[in-house]
Amino acid sequence: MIDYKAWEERIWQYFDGHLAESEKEALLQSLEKNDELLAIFESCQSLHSMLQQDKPDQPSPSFVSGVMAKINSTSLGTSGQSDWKKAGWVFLAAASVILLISIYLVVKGPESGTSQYPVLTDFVYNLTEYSFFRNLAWLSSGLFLLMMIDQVIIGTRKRQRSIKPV
Amino acid sequence: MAEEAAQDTFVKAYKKLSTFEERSSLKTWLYRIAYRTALDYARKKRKEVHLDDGMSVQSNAQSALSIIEEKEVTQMVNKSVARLGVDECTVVTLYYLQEMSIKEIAEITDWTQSNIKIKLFRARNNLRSMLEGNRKKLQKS
Repeated sequence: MIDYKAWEERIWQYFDGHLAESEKEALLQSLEKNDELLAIFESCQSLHSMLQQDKPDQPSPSFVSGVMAKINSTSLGTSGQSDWKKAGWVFLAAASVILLISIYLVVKGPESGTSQYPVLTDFVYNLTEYSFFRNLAWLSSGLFLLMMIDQVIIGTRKRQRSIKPV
Repeated sequence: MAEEAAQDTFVKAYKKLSTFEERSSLKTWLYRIAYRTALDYARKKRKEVHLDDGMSVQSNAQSALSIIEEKEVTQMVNKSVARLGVDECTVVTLYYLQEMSIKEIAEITDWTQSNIKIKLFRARNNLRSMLEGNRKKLQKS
């Protein structure tokens, strides 16, 4: 009893170019001896050549305009999301600038000849007696840390997912 | 439907281009998007034609080419490929129409190379059976 499945595998390996010379010769010799194997071989050969001659469909003339229309419509839909992201970055940048200026002014001390701090810093100083800045510094550090995590870890995951979009 | 999926592929690629990290070639990256998009479309719209895995080989099989004209053969092959399951259709399309290697197909689909070889083997056997079936119908008519 001939194991046709194994022979079929071998025949396809032959057409795919995965057989060594000695294996090719053995296969061709077997084909000469066995008509059934030869019939399988010819059937595979005809399918293989048909598939090789097959050509992919060409896109229609409106393909590019269709893509552009879709891009335009989707970019309108996602613009709101990017605006929120931008606003978040602007807010954080502004907060950090205010924080730095305030810290600088407190470190610098009151204006010479007076016991008064500049307006904003004096107000903040009187309000919190330094602990405000300490807390703000901690809060800012935490925020920046979270942002870093978001950008480095979550951002990387997003990029990885986008390589194999589902 | 195929054209719609192809258009969506380019739209997705455009939107995700900034996230392309060159860990694979742009071609592979684009094909991965195309593959996933096509899968989505197939899941939504396509009714798969399931065929028996265990195909018996006909002892008196003859070349289908000798009976049908070349154009008809091409149409018949395309129809037969479309009737394959999604995975088998994917492998045959990438291997023959896009002339990709098994390794390239593995990068696109995330399947192992041996898995792809099995799918290709099954796909070709199914195609052969379909074409033999058509040949017999033609002979009868």
